[in-house]
Amino acid sequence: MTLRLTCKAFIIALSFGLSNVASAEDVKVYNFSPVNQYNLNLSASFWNPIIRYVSDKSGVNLTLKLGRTSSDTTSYVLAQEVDFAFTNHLFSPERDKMGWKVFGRRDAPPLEGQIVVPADSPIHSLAELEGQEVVYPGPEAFIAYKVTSAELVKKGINTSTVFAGNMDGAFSQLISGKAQAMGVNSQLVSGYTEREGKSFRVLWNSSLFNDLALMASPRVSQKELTAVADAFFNMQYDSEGSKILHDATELVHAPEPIKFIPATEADYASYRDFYNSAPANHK
Amino acid sequence: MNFFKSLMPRSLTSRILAMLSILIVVFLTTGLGLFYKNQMLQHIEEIQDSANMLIEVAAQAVEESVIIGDYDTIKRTLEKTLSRSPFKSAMFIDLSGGVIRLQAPKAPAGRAPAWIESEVAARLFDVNRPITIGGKDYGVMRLSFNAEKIAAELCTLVVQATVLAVLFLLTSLLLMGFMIKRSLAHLDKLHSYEAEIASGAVAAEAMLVADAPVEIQEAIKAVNRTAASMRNHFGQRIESLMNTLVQHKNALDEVSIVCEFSPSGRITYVNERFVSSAQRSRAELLALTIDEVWNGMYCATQPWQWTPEREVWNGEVRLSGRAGTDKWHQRTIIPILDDRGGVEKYICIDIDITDRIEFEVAILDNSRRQNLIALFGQQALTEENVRALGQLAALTAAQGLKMSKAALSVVDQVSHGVILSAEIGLTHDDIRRSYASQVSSRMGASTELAIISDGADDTYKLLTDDTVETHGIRSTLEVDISCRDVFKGVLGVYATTDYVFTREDVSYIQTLANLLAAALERDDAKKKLTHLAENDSLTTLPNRWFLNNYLHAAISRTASAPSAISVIFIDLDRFKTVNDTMGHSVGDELLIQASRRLEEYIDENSMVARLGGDEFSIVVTHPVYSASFIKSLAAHVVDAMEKPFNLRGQDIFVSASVGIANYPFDGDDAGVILKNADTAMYHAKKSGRNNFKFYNAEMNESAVKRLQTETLLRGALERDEFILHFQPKVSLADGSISGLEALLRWNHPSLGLVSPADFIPMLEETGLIIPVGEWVIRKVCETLKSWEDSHIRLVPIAINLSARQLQVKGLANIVKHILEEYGINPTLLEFELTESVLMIEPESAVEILRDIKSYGIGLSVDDFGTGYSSLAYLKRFPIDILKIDRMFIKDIMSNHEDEAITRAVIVLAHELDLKVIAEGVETFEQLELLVKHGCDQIQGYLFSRPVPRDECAAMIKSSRTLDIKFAEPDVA
Repeated sequence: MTLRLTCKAFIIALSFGLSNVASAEDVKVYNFSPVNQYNLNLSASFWNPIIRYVSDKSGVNLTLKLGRTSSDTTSYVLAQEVDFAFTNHLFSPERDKMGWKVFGRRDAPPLEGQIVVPADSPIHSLAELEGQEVVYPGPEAFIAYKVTSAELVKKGINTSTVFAGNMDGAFSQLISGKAQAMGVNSQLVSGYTEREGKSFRVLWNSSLFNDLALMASPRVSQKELTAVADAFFNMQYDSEGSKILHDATELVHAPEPIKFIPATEADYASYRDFYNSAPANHK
Repeated sequence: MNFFKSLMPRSLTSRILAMLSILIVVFLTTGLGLFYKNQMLQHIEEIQDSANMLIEVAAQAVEESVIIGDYDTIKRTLEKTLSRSPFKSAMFIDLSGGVIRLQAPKAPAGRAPAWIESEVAARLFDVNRPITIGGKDYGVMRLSFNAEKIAAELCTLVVQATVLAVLFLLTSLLLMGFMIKRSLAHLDKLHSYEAEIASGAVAAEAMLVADAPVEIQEAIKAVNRTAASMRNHFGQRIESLMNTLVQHKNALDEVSIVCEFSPSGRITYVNERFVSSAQRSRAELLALTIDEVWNGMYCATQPWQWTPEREVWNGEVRLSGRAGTDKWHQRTIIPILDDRGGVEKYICIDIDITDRIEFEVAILDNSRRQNLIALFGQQALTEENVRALGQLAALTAAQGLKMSKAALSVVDQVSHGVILSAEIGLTHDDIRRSYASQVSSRMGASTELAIISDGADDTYKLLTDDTVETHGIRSTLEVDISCRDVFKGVLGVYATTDYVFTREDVSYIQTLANLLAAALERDDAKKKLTHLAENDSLTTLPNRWFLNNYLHAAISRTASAPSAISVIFIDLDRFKTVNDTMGHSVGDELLIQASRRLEEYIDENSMVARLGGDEFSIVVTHPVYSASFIKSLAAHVVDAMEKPFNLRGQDIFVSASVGIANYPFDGDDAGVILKNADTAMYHAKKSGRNNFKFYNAEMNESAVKRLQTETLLRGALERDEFILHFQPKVSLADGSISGLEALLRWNHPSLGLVSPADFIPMLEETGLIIPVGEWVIRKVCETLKSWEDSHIRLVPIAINLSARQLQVKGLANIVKHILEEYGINPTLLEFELTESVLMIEPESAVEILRDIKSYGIGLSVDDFGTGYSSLAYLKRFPIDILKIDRMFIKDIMSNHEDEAITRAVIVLAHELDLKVIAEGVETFEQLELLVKHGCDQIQGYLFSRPVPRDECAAMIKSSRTLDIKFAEPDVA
């Protein structure tokens, strides 16, 4: 009798446990956190339709977890609160160890890190930045901050570093004159010029870096990763997806139609090269 | 909408305050809302920025601690970060997932509304900071905001600011209310102004207060100006109205008879016109009632009396005044009501319309008279009976003037006796029947006058003095009945009262008299026309039209009184000869004398008429038909006409052919009887003239046959029914054929060969002889041409010319053209004419025959010896041959006189160098005698009867001759 009751209790407990596991798997949600390249509202308008579409097409539940700054996105990764990210902050040797994999990127030409001043600025060379304030989106911004500030360090030009939090904030400080120069990637410069009608003078160009990468944490199964990757890559071939991409392109005034293509670690070798040669405080 | 209106404050102060309150609340709320929102956003932004700086500071402390694994320091750093910060929690998350988490203590303050909290929370984001040292990640530092606390602080701020704003608002409203009320208090001056106006101080003005707002001062000034303007305007209007009222009153008094009287009828006021119209003094009138002013009042024909009414009364009244004269007033009585609605008094407004009424009566009278005149005029145009018309004239005269007596008298123009009289209200004997001669100058030379002028003023009176006195006649109007200044009589009307006849009365009676005169004139003219229409102007006998009517009437009378009627048709024989030879005037004289002779045989049962030309007719009505009487009458007529008529000193002998037809034996209709009498006369004429014949049915049959024949004859030429026969003439020199006489024959398809005696006269009478004669000439020429072409010996062919042909102008030319057309030698053609033909119009005949003769055509005289046998024409006319009539040849063997005449003619002709042809030679004895007397040619059955063309041609071709060799006479 006792055995029978014990068995029954075990079976009930097991069935509860299984049902919980099954329901946990059923409701498993992955957070997707892109680096906020614009401002919160614009970034949300850009990513929400894409993530909703990918989630529907792939069958993998994705939610958008948008941080105000690139530090927020990196923090979410470090705190393991997200499993998909659109970032280029994870190529340092230390972060490689986290096991995140590149599976795609935007079909766009590689970017350059640039140090720019307003077109009407009296500053025409890097040397003239000595003692001036240079604004960056944030310390996590790879091309905009790490690459450009590393160049200033290499050149021995002492500047005052200012973090605006995100790219639009940095542009605002440059335009308002609070900062005299700005570290930025070339794509964002052209996008901002297109969007706001402002023109800039480029004082320095870095070597080429591919834009942010679509990355997945090692906690994502291969099957789910493949499903999500396929959904991204096939957007352009699907009427609904192509429309979303078209609207996104219009939204951010991208110079070329936005679409996602497969990418591998090799596409971001230039980042690793930078880390290998960068000053220690820029790694 | 009404609901919102009900919420609207009543006083101006409240309304202004309410409006200002709404405006301030709206603007304050909007302003505060925007302000708070901006403040909140700015506050949140500052908090976020502060958090960024704060986490950077804290991160440096954490980085230093994490390298050495000093988690307590990290914890304390987090605690310090939380103290007096807007954060709810601070945590450090290492890469392995370990978390150091610190919560801020609960805030003692109250919580803000949930919507504010959610608004704040939505705008604040956790602040993350990777803890990375030398490229190595140690974890993440995260600060989470305390949205409830921040919202509570913001809320407190908002509440405090709002309270302040409300206090400010209330204070402002109170102040404004006070100010507005104080300003508007100046308008109360208008209330006291209104009270002054109401109390009668119309010249008062609203008082101006120096410290009153400008707008209110302007408003009070405007009120004062408006009041002054209205005072001025209405003052002028009232003055104008008063003037108008006075003028109207004066005008009313000028044209109207006005009085006022109490509800009981007592007069209380009269104007001057009323006084003069009533012919009473004002004091006297004021003691009377409205009904007592005049002796009698009538509305139309009914007596009228005033009765109190509450409605306006309007109408026409006839008033009998003191002087006995009537007046007509157009009266309007208007009740004037008092405040309680009762009648206070009546105003009576009269307008004297006597003239208008009299004028209307005159117009109506005139219209009635015009109608009477029109009716009489119609009768005058159509009425045949002048006696009835006269009676109607007298009646119309009396009616037109509304008088009971009228009379008229019409006299004859020749006898001057009264021929027509009429009277209304009088007797026939009342009118004068015998008159003296005082008006002779009006009536011409006659002394037998019908109407007398009794007075020196040449007024003609129809009535005797006794009549005037008997009937009590006091007024008389008499006018002449005359037309084109010819006096015909008198028409008069009479009144038994003293009546002054107006010009219109005279005109009316004169118009009637003129119409009657015109009708009498028309009647006279009609009688004259009838006489002219029924009588022959030459003989004064009734004419054919009258005879026809007479006969119709007589036949009609036989229906009621059976009787017989005889119509004697008389035609004078040889009248035409008399007319032609002695002239028309002599002929007319003959007709007049014949008429007088015929009239001698007329009694009360008969009449004689001239039918036209030389035709007369006597119609006799017999109560019982007597053939012997008619025979006797006819014989007397024939005898009377046989006697010589002495015309212009010569005794001329004519005779009469008389035909008789009787009704009802010879026809039942006037036309038939007359025609049958004519037919009988024709037969009498055919049977030798100077006798009479009774009609019988056979006569009519022959007449019918004659008519049928004439009808057929008219189409014979077109149907080519005429043919020519030729009778040879034989030369007594050698017995050969010396010529031919063409004789016309009519070969009708059904009648056969018609005798020339039956149709030749018809051709003459109808004029058909002219085209037929031309056809004969053509046919003869055609025959000659045909024979010439056939090489038959040609001999002259003679054609008979009638009198009608000789009257055709251009006959010679026609003949010439035909000859030229056929190319015939004119000497081969001869024309034969009788003596009578030559005598009809000798002058023109001579001319035509000379023309014909000039072409070379031969001329011969036919039937010589039977007519005039005038030797003169033998000399005048270009004659070649004489043809001795067959009547002489017929008895030449037995009658010595015929032989002597024949011999004399032959001798005479030869002496005149003319050839002689004897007609009708039938025996050898006759031939022998003619040869013996030296006759040149003969023509007759002895040699040949008339034969058709081909037979004649054969005769010529065979050279047939007459044997004229006789035994030698015994010549001693």
